[in-house]
Amino acid sequence: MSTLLRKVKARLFLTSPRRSAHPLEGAHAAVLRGRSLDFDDLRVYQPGDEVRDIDWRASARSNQVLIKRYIATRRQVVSLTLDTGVTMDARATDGTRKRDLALLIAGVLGYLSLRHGDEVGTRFATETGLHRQRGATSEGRLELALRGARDRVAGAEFTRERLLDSIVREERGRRILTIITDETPIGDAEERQLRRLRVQHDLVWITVCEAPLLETARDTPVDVQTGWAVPTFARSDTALIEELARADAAERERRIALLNALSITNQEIRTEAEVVPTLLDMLRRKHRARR
Amino acid sequence: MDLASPWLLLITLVILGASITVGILLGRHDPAVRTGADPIAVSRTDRLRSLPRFTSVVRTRTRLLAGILVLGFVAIVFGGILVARPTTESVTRPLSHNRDIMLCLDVSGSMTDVDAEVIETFLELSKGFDGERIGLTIFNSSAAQVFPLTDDYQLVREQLTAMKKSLTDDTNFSPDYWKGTLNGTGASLIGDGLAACALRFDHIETDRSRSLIFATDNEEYGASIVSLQEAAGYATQKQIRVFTLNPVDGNDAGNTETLRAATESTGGAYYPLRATTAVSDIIAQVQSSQARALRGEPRVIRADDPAPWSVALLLAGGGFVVLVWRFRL
Repeated sequence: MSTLLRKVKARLFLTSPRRSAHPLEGAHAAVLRGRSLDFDDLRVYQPGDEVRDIDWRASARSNQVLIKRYIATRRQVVSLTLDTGVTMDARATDGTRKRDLALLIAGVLGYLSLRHGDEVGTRFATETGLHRQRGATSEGRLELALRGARDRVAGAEFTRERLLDSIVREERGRRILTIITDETPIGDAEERQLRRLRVQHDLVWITVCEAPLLETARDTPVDVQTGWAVPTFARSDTALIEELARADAAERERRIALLNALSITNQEIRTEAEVVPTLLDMLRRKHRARR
Repeated sequence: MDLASPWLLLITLVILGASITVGILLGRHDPAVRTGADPIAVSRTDRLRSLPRFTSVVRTRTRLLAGILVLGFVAIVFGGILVARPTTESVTRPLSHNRDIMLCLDVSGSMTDVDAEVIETFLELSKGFDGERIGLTIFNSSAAQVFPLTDDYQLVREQLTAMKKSLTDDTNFSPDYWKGTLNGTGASLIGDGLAACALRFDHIETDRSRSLIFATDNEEYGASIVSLQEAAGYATQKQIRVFTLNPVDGNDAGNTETLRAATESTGGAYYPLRATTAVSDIIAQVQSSQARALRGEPRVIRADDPAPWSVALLLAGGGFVVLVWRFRL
């Protein structure tokens, strides 16, 4: 049944041999999987902590009183927001559809969150409306939710702005809001929504990057929205390629600058292969940043 | 310029117009339908289209394609013109140079000055000759050919020069040119002389103008083998026109009349020479009358003239092919 998550697990297990080689540094999977036993989970006793929270064994080993943090205090509600717009049909650098890549990212993050003990909510637009599921705590529920998102294309009126708007209106309480989308520039309305959301929530913005438009070797690039085929003479014009690359780079700079300015964790994903390591890396950075 | 079959050009233009129409109709189809087998899905191509460089690339491309198309159309039109066979018309009045002129000079002592003048004139004329043949036969009591009808003008000039020199050089008592002219009995046997000169015309079957400049004083002594009338008759039969120069016109009315009649019976003319009359003037008259006779009817000549159109087609078509190849259309 859980084909989507099995794929995520398979990828996660791929990193497991590295744990034995580097037990303390850079073993992403180990850092997250073994979390409850990890040193990170303990902190020095501070006045006011409950005595029953003291990890006596750890304290005995370390010569200082250590407090075991409850999993319950760390339980978060992770809200995965998937952009399912038409532009997500385009291909990433490795030929994967951005839509599939987004789903894989959602799967990885959802699975990691579940393993972490968090609740995972999902939100995406379909042809007919907005779909949301809140608080999945089992792999089965997450799997179902992600399957529901598979190959769904948002209707024209269900834009990303509309999706963000629904978050603004509907999400109560503090969430880890993960928005998985593509490089479509963040509009002014969206920026306002993000400014508002970041106050309430912990925002993660994951950008699924598309293959460079003009640097494809032989096949004709065709726009998924308009059906316009990029003419060959445009693809062979070096100056045009450079100008487009400059424009795209400027757009990327602008996006990153905006997200950084809003203190939104942002990450770019380019290929299917880099999904797991990049996300783990991002989470580790985010974890450190939070401390 | 004229076209031998203009309807072929018309058909070419019709086909050209039809193909332009078909091309426009095909071009109106949604280009997405005609994309290759392996399209890559991309998004937000409007960001590419909004680049100024893209606009300029498209403009350049449009101009290039338009240029190539125009070149192709022009090449097709040139091809159509070539197919329709461009011809040029020219009106010519063919001026024949196929004249044979035989100088037939009486070299009896009284004629020396006249002969020298005739030769002098022809020496001048020979510079402008092109295609004419000229021959020289002299006679007294017998006829001798100095040189036959020839267009070897160098030889003609050499011979005429030598002849003139021997005619005007008084120191030489018996110059070479007289040799062979005194074999008969008598003097100025003009009947024999004219006949001998008339016999020198060759290629009688070809259509040439034949004239005979006959310089004589018509003072015949002795018995000719053929009479003047017989010789004139022979000349007429061979379509030789005799132009006679007589320096002693009127000395003997009977003789003069005989000579005039014989001359005119051949279609030629009789010119009496007086002291005031220049031989060159008479010969100029002869020349111009002959020229009139020889000038043909104006004729319209149509000739295929594909050269400029071929070159134009080669340039336009070649340019079209090269550009198409260069830009891999």
